[in-house]
Amino acid sequence: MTEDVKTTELRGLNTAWVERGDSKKPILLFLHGYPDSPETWGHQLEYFSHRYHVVAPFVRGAGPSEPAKDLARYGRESISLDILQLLAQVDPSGKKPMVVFGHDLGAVHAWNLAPLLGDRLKGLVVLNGLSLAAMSGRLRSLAQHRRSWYIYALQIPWVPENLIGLFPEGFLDFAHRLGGLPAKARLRLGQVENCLVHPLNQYRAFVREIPAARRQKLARLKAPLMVLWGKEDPFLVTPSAKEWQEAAQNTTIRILPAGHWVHRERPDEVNRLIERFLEKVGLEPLKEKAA
Amino acid sequence: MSVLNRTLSVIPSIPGLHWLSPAAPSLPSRETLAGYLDAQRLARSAAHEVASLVRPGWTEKQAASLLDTYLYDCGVRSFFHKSFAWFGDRTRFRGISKVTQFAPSPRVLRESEVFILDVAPILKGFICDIGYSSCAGENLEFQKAQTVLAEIRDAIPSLFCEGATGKTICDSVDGLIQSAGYDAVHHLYPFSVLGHRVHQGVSEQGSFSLLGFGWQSYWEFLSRGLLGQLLNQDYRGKLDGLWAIEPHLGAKDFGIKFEEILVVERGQARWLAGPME
Repeated sequence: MTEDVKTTELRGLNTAWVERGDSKKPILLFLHGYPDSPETWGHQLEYFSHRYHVVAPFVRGAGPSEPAKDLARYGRESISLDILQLLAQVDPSGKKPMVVFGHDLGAVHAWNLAPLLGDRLKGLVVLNGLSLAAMSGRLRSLAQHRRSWYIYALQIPWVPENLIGLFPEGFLDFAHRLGGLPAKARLRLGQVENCLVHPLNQYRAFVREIPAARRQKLARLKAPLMVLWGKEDPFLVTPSAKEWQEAAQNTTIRILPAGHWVHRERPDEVNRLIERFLEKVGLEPLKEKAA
Repeated sequence: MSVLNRTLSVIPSIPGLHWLSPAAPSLPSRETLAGYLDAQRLARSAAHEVASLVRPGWTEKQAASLLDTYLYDCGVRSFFHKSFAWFGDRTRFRGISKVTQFAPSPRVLRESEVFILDVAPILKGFICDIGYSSCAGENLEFQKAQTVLAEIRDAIPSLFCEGATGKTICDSVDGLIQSAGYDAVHHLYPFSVLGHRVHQGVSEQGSFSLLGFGWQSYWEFLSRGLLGQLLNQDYRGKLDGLWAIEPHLGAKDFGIKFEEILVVERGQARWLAGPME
């Protein structure tokens, strides 16, 4: 994937993304979570890059995306601005239709980004992830609190980054085991190089943003929403249909027998469901005319 | 002169305040101008970049919040005022009758509508205030108004000649706007200002703001008596120094403005930078 990595400077910091496919085709934007890199979408990037323009940013501090000194740079607004500026580079016309995919923390960014894309957003696909508003609402539930223990652990200053920095392989293995990801579907340490330490600051930034997120009244998403959810996720309680219907006007929910990394655990099934969703939202790339 | 104006005009004579807020030198040094220029360049890059991202469906609050985020990411920690964004008919201040209504609202931008971004960071102690108008799509009326605004920009420096007063300058700008068939919307700003002074050596400690304006703006203006800081019909003092000038013209359904720093030295005025610099 290294050869597909592009970089640019955004507000003083180098920012990287993976880009494949024909730049004239509609955009599929894949946002990764933590601890991950665009490699987490490997099966999807490979499958869809022949027919779409696939773009997968490295979140702030991950891999070649330069880390920031200021915590605010890991917050929702700043990361949304990163992605919008990056999209302006990959699509200078600003008019290409797109579908946005978010997994884990990538879903937080996808939800924040969605209203800023206007009518070029043709659909949103969320995989085992929530908006910050939904997450803050859920923290009233004891069951979700129990599953979110790691968010609190990551608030401790200095210790988590240093422990993860010392034992990156052990940490990655621990996260994958906990998330129920079978060994053959896991990313290797080299595939998430430099993606484990700095991006954890997103959790710190989000916790500070929760009071504002609670006050924020999110407009109901107009574009169709598809939720793909591994029901054995140990980090997030499976949402109810009502929870999603309040967030979007047109929702499709697929609960799959998988853990937190549903797109890696069941890639063929997930790709098929995505394909059907793309057809539903009218984002089929134009078929080549027969010669 | 109203009771409020009379009361405010007493402020500069309060003992000790000149020591706390010394008057800016009327002839700024090259280093001083470079400081203002850096602040103005940053503010302009924020406005141009966010304006290029704005699209129908955004709210004023979203645009203003992303402007503040952009500036914060670039090192700004305090503001003369937090970013303002006005969309559609609010660009000509329709429906705005109270000071609180200038704040970014949930108003949604629609296709072809005009919008204004107004950005005022404090960078390394230099206050800057810029305004930028743009449009979400094709709009011939907007293009026409922009041409008129560019002509007014060209004409403004010559209005700050020896002997000019607030009244002569404001009347001339109003005349240019009205003769082109538009309304002078800047009369709807608090104190009907066409512009205001900008300051340097401003504290960047603390981000407390009231009605969108940082505590620094209240301090810098009030401690100098407010009235001498505002360019409007009543201004009678010296014109030397730096001003943020913000003519705002109104068409039937929208308004547009620009705002940038004007340098006035001994009856000669020039814009701190070119229109695109």
